[in-house]
Amino acid sequence: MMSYNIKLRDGFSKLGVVKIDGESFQTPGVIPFEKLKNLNSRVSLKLKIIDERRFEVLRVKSEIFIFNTPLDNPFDFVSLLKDYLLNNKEFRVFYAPAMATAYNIPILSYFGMDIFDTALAELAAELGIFMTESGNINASKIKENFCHCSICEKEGEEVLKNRELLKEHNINLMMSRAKLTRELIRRGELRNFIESEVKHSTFYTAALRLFDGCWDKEHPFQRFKKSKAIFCSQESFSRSEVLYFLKRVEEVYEPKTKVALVLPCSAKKPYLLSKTHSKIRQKLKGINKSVNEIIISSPLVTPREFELCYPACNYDVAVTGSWGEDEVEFVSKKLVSLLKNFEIVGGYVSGGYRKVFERACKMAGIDGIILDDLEEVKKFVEKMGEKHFDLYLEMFKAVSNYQFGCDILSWIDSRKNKVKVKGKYPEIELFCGKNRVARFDVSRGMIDIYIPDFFKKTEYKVEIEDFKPKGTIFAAGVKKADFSIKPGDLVGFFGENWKGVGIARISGREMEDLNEGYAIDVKRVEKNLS
Amino acid sequence: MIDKPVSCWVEKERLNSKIVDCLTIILRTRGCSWRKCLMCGFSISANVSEDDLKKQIDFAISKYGVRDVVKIFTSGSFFDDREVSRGARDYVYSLVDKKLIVESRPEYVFNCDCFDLGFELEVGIGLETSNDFIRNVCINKGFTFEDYERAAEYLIENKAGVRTYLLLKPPFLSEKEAIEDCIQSIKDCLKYSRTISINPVYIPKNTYIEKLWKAKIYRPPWLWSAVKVLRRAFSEIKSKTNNKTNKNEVCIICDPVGAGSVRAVHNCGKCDKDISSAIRKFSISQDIKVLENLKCSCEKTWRKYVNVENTARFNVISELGGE
Repeated sequence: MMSYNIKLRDGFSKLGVVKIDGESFQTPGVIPFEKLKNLNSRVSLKLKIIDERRFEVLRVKSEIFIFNTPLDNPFDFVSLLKDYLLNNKEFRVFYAPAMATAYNIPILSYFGMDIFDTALAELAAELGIFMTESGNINASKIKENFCHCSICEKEGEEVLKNRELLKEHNINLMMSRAKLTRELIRRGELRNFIESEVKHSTFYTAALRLFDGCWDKEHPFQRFKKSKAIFCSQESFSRSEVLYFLKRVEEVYEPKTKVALVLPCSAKKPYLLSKTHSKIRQKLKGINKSVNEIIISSPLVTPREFELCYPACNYDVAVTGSWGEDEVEFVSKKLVSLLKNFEIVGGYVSGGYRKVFERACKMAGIDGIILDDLEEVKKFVEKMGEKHFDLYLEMFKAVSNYQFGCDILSWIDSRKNKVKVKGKYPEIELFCGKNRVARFDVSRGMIDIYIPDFFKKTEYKVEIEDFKPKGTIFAAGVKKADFSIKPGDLVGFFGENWKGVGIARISGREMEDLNEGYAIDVKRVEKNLS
Repeated sequence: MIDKPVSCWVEKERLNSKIVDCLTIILRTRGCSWRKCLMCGFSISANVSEDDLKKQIDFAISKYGVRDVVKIFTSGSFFDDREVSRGARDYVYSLVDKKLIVESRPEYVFNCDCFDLGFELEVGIGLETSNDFIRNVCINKGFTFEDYERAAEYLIENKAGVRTYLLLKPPFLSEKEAIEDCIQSIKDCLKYSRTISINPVYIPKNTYIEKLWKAKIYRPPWLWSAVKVLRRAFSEIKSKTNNKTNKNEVCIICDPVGAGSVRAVHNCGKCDKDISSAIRKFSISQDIKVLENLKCSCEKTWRKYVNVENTARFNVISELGGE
């Protein structure tokens, strides 16, 4: 008998507790092989690719899904992940038998595996293989035992010669890697971590690239996150949250003017708080609201209105001043898709930024004006007439559209109320009369909403049983949830007598399907009088 | 080319508890009429005439002479007229001295035309396993255990011997299941067989099983598994034939074709030669002592592998960069 209690999700990785035959284990976690050896699927999942007919005849289903495939061909591996993680929505606990090493546990966890065993640690010891965080090494070839796990600390070089000790070392290291993985999930940093980890292996690098290309409406990546996104590798460009951001911004961007001013990014986020950006705005004081600013970075292209939205509000890139051809191409293309909204485009850009600007203007068929210094920027903006807009209100409008597919300003307007922004940037709040309606949750890069009824018009609503929610709503208390809801999303929940706002811990489908575990962290509750 | 056999050689065989020479000829025929087994690597040959077959036999005899035992393999069924015509078979019969060993699918056994010709006859049947599900779903053999039983009874009624071929580690079986299946099959076919031949899977080119192997979801069996099966089979035979004389005992043999190669039954690479030669020695001598005290550090690895592969269902050693 098995039960699974998910506490937190970060993409496909899940932090939880699985109970097998009465014994509880944390996930992602390593379980002694002895305790799992009765699980039997009869054939490898990979047979599905070779002979689907025999696969259907021979494959035995089990409560715990056995994701058993050799890790040799990234195409096959990812096609199976796609079949069982993305296309097949049935909720499953994934067990990767005899696949885990000290190296790959964080990566396999990122790919959705929950349970690992000690099989390879034991087998490796028999073969004289010493596991390390970056791969396996032949123990007899090691000159100096560099490991400081409890057994290596105690036994030193002896571990390299003794199979029993070697086994203990291998298991120690796997356990520690599983713990690290859990911590990374808690911190929301697993993706940052594995982007560098995969570089130890061509297989996993290829698998990550291929997997990033798989898209699905219910992909459980987080749209909003507390952790800083570190963009340091080619794979950073294909992160779900990056691709989603770029696509979503393009979809909902409605600039107020026909003039774009393209600016370089800054190290400090949000950009407006940086020295360079505040200097520019200082120079343009009084006239800056007659153009729309677009900030280019790598890999993000961010209209000013979206700079408080994750990941634009909280990321870092390796800056060297030199842009690779791939970067220039990628960012130019993204810029082009925004420039189509404008008639006049100026760029206060140099170096790689200028390359991007010029290429994008060329692709868009626009005569981009290069502005070499702040004086030129000022002249450019001055010429652009008097169309003024309120940037902060535009930010609420843009990000609410992005986040909920519903513009909060129009929603309030439709109720014929006056709105006003209060607070010191970036901690800005939207008021309607004396009532706070929304604010920017800068730590997560999203808008926080104070009126549950707003969610009724959106996809981000959850129907719950009749009880007064306190602290947490469990999956068992969820009646209906929209499948667009991703972990980390702000949602409105509605019961017969109570309603409120909270943050989803798991996806909408999981809220419906699961009978245990956390579903929503409650932020605020009120009486449901409607 | 069609007037020469695929191969021919002289090897040792047992004849009435004595070890004698055996001329083995692998005939080039038009091929097995079934040809659907998943591990079968024999493709259909060009049309081979009766005359070609006779020439192939002449070639072997001119090279090695007729020996006490003549063994003829066709990679199919000797009694299938489409493979070996009546005339070609008669030609073979005319040359045999003491014993003839051939092979046939059960359905062609009833076409046997060499009972009571003055030599001993043993017919090999590729039962592979006594388990119908495994034979038909995992191997695609296309006959049942009952078909085998009927053919075997027919041969026994006519005073011919049955040589039962069992496959060690059919596709889709884990090493653990394969060992269990082989031991069970030995028990099931014991009463029909004069010889039980354990055949560890070999992976020929361009076969279904080769795809599984290349995908790393199949590993040919370990030599240790073959040793385990032989030892269990031997004690099984001993316990069943306690009261009988040695003469009637069932022989249990195993030819570890290609042993040591990654495409064939193999261990760690260090001990393959010793273990496979012990298996061959046992097959001839039926002396179980040669299978005792075999040692290599990979025996422990094998034990672990057997357990792990049963859950993993792929070659778990290749995950560690081995093989």
